[in-house]
Amino acid sequence: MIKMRYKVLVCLIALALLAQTSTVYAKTTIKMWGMGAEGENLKPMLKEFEALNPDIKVELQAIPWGSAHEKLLVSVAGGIPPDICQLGTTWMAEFAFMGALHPLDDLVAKSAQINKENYFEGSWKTAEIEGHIYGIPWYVDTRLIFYRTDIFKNAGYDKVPQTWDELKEAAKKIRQKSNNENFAWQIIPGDEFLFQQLVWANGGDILAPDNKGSAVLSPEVQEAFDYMYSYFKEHIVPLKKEASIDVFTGFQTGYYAMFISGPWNVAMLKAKAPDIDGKWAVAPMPKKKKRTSFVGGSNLVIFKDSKNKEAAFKLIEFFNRPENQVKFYQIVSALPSVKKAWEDPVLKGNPLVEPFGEQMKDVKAPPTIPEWEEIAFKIQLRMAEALYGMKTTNQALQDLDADINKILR
Amino acid sequence: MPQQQYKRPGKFRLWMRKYYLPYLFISPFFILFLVFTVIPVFASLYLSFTDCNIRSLLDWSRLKMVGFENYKELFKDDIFIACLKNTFYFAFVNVPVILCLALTAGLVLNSQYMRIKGVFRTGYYIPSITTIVAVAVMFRWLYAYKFGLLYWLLSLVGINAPNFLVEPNWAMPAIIGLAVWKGTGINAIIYLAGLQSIPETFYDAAKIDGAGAVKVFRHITWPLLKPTTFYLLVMLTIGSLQLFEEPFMMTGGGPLNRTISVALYLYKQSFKFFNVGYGAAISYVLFLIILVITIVQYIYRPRVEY
Repeated sequence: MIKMRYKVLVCLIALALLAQTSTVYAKTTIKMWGMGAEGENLKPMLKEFEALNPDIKVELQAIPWGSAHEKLLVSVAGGIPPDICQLGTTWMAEFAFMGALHPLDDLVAKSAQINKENYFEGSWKTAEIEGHIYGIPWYVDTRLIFYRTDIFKNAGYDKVPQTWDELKEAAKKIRQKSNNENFAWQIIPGDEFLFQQLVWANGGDILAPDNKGSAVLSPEVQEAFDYMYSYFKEHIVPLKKEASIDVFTGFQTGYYAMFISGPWNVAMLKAKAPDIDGKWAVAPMPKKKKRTSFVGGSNLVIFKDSKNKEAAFKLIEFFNRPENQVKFYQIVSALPSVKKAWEDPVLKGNPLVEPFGEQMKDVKAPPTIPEWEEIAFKIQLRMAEALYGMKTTNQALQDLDADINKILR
Repeated sequence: MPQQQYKRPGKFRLWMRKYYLPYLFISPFFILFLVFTVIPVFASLYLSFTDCNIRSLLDWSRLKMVGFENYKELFKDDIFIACLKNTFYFAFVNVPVILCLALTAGLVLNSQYMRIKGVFRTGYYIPSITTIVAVAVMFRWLYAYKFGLLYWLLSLVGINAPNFLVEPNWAMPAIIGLAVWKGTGINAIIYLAGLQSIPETFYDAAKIDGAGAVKVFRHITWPLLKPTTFYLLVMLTIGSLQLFEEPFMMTGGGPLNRTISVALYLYKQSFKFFNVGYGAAISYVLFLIILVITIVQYIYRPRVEY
């Protein structure tokens, strides 16, 4: 009797197992890695995707930003990367040149939904490497001016000035008004982001077209550098000695009247500096010839070793639907990469969000070449040398020119 | 049931047990050592003669041999020269300062008048086991301009403190301050062990001869501590030349590359810029420098005879 029971049990288990495996076989499982808050909050959206695509199952792994780069490198080197992953825009070049990413040109060409025109130009370029598309922008970030409305009002400005010359003028006034105690803002010696933005706004670029060699000896770059340098010379930003008061604390206490940074500060200022609520606003970058700002964010990429590229691309398409982009904004406040999503009432008309959308029309990313990290390192050094008074701006740029040409040789 | 009889193992088994089994037991260490240390050491030696970079990281067919090009390039690299200067500056200050402080602390801990020794021993030891990340955060606050504790303390005596981590001439002293704070304790404990191993009879004899405290230290304690001092000198020199975490956490190598060390530059070249071949060359130059210095130190090591 007992033996009989065992036989039935074994048969049942075998049947159950069979049923299990057969359903799994019918489904494609794709592995996705998400970083930080994005990774942790994706579950509900993935459920929705699975409901729409019953034949695909998504396995999500959330990875903290701190260890993400290392984990990705290891998984790529070991030949076991996820199928789909979000990649910071500044990491694109590195992974693409390593040969880890799958070019998406064919999939994009076939797609009815994903189209270059739907995205901000600067953002799309972060995924374009040597003429191929290696990722689809998922969310974007760009740098704006955060400024204290009360301090600027006190100096006679209703809002932050919109041109280079006016901004410098306002900075002088703010410093005078505070009896030379406070500053309009802070320039960190060696902040290559600010330098690049000023160069772009002046119609120049660090590298020559097609990233062949340096272009830092052009008058546009020289002028942008001199403009930045003049703030130090005239002591309207803190000199090196004074320059380490944390930007956030400085802004809160009024030591700095403005700073240039990304969208994450909106939530952070609201949460950590409630005492200055209503006393600050955001505005686009000041204009010279243009008002170009930096663009960053994350792109969704498919790895070369993935076996489910079609299914993974379906997921990318899902995330890039305008309505889902808005939903994602509501979950983690990540700014949509798809232009159409910005027309949604959730974003449109919000005075702390709309300026970012406005700025996105004139943005640029650093060149997508693997040598960029090293070039940035040299820019930081040469800038600091000039700002610390060890070299003239001209000499510093000449040295930088030689550095860049040597790196790109 | 017949009683189980002890069966003598065969010849092969005995031979196996005698000559090979011990190696089997110690093999895990050697296998790991081989895979994670020996092979990488030779691989990086090979890499230092190639132009290995991001393009050839996954696709080894693009690897090109360049001979001694990386090494030649190194000595034309201003930043590498700056790294060498910074690293030697750090070592030349850090090592003697730690040795002096550790010896003083060791002597105080060994003193018979000292109470609650355990508390002090633990207290001295804690900095060296505290993670550098926490220490760096703490020191950044201590050194902070205007709001830092150090600024405030110095202002009490009327000194206008510099902005330590931002001013080029103050950044390295600030890094050394951290390293000394972190490194003194453990060396003091080792000195303490050295002091306790000096036989009491020497001191008794000196006392009978009428030697004062200074003479006792000069003629008994110091000479008999020489092996300890030598050991600490060698270990500290090696450790100091490998300076990495302190500037990595505190300044990132800035301002003006005044705190960038050889090890930090090698990290940047290999894992930030992916000039892996160049980075490997840096690591071999660093290795050679440490090797030469250690050999020199070994040649001039003190010989103590009781």
